[in-house]
Amino acid sequence: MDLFDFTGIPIIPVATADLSQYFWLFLLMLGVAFLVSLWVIRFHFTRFNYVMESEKEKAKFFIFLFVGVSIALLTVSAVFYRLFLNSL
Amino acid sequence: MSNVLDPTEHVIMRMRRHPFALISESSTIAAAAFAPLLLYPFLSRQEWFGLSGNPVFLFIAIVSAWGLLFWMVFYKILLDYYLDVWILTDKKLIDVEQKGIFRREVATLMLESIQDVTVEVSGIIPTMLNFGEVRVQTAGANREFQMHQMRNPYQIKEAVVKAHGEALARSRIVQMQPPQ
Repeated sequence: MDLFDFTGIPIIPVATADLSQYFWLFLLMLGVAFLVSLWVIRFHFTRFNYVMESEKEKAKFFIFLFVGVSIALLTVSAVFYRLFLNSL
Repeated sequence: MSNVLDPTEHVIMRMRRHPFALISESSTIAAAAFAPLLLYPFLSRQEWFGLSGNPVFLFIAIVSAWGLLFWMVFYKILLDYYLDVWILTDKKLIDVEQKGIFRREVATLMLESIQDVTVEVSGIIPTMLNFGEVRVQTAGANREFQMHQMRNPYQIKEAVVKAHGEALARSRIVQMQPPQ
């Protein structure tokens, strides 16, 4: 089974489906939460630069760190959940 | 501070809370984020949820998602820490306080109106790491600038007092100049 082939796996499980499939919904919600957080963080750090012109680089670093770690965790979570489903 | 500072105004010092404040606030988050690792022997059992798949994969997936949740919470704390700042210029003291994700207070105090600067370092850790509370009392108004866990509080006090003295001296010179 292809690792990224999500066909046939419902995001919202039907009543008889395994409870663990709710995990896709959870990951989806986490992804949305990540995007909202990114917007909030970017908004604050870039707006705050009107106060701290010289700290633009540090703010940029914080944003990249947030994006990098979040995407890494989200990917690891999705891939390992997919591997788990494959092992069923 | 391009919106708040005069073109001739110079920033003398930027002051933030000691990193210990960030560490102590986020230690609970870190403990909660890593807690599932301690529970691995219990959570990774085959009969967990009655599933027949490889429990290690499911465990890693859940721990990563759990970690992401706490990573976002940590950034909220970092945002609060990073955006709380005092900026001392040669004309005023600006207190920027982030009180929530969408709540910020920016207060400005002219250096001439400073009446008293108080430093309080209390406890073993603050004494060892050199951080404490700094309070700046203004003349007349009841307004008081206060920030907890500031790093190098004595240095801050010296800088504020020196800037205050220089601002007073400048205003006296301006007053003594004859009108043209």
